[in-house]
Amino acid sequence: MAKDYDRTHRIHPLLFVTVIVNEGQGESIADIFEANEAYACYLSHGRGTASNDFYEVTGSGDRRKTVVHSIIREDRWPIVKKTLEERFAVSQMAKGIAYSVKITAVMAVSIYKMLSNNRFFEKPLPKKEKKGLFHRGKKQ
Amino acid sequence: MNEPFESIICIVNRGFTDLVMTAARQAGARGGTVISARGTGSPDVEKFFGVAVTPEKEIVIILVPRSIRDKVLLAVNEGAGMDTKGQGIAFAIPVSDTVGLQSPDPEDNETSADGQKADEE
Repeated sequence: MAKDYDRTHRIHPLLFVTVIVNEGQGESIADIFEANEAYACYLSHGRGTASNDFYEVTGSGDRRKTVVHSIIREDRWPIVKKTLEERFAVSQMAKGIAYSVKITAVMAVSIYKMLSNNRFFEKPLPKKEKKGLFHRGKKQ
Repeated sequence: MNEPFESIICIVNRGFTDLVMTAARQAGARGGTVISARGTGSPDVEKFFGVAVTPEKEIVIILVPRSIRDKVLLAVNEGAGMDTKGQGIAFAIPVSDTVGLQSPDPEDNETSADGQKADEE
C-alpha cells in the first residue's frame, strides 16, 4: 500500500539543486544532471545584478544568466558537486555557482518515485528490515 | 549543524530589483540573480475589478553567509518591503551545500562557528 511505502522501501532523501551560469551554459549543466539520474531539469533566464563596471573589468560584458533547477537523490550530490566544480574551473565563461536544499516532503509516493527516478532498481526491503527511514522507533 | 550559507529569495514587482540589491549590498551581500515570474492574483480582486490580475514579478536570489542573513533581510524589508513601490516579500532557506562560492571571510567564520550566538543577536 502507498501509505506504508516508507516502511517497506528504502527512502532516498532528495535535494533541490539550483545552478546559476552564464547564458549558453545551461544545456551542459542539464546534461550533468541527466547523467546523474535526475528526472528533469528546469531552465530559466536570469540576469546578474553586478554593476556594469564589474562586467567591463572582468571582460564578460554580459549579465545574462541561465538558472537551472533540478531534483536529485542525495547520494548523487557528491558526484554532481565534483563535476560542477570541474566544470566551473574550465574557464571564466564556464564559471557559475550552485547550491542544494534538502527536500523535506513530497505530495505523493508516485511523485517521490518520479523525482528519485528509482523505477529501475526499486525493491521492497526484506521482511526483517521493514523499518523505513522515517520510522519513529515504534515497535511493529 | 551550521551551514555557512543561506539563500534569500525576494519576490518584488517587476522593475524594482535595484531596490532589493541596493539594500542587500548595504547589508553586506555581494550579488544576486534575477529571474522573471508571474504572480497569481487573488480571485476576489479579479472579481471585484472584472479583469484578470496577472502582476509581473521578479525573483531575486541572493546567497549570503548565515551570519549576515538577518541583517540582509531587515535591509531588504526596509528598502523594498511592502511599504515601498517594490512591494517585496523575502524569506531565507537553509542551503545544504554550495559550489563555486568563496568561503566566508575568516572573521565571518569566527562568528558563524558559534552560529547560535550570531543567530540570537
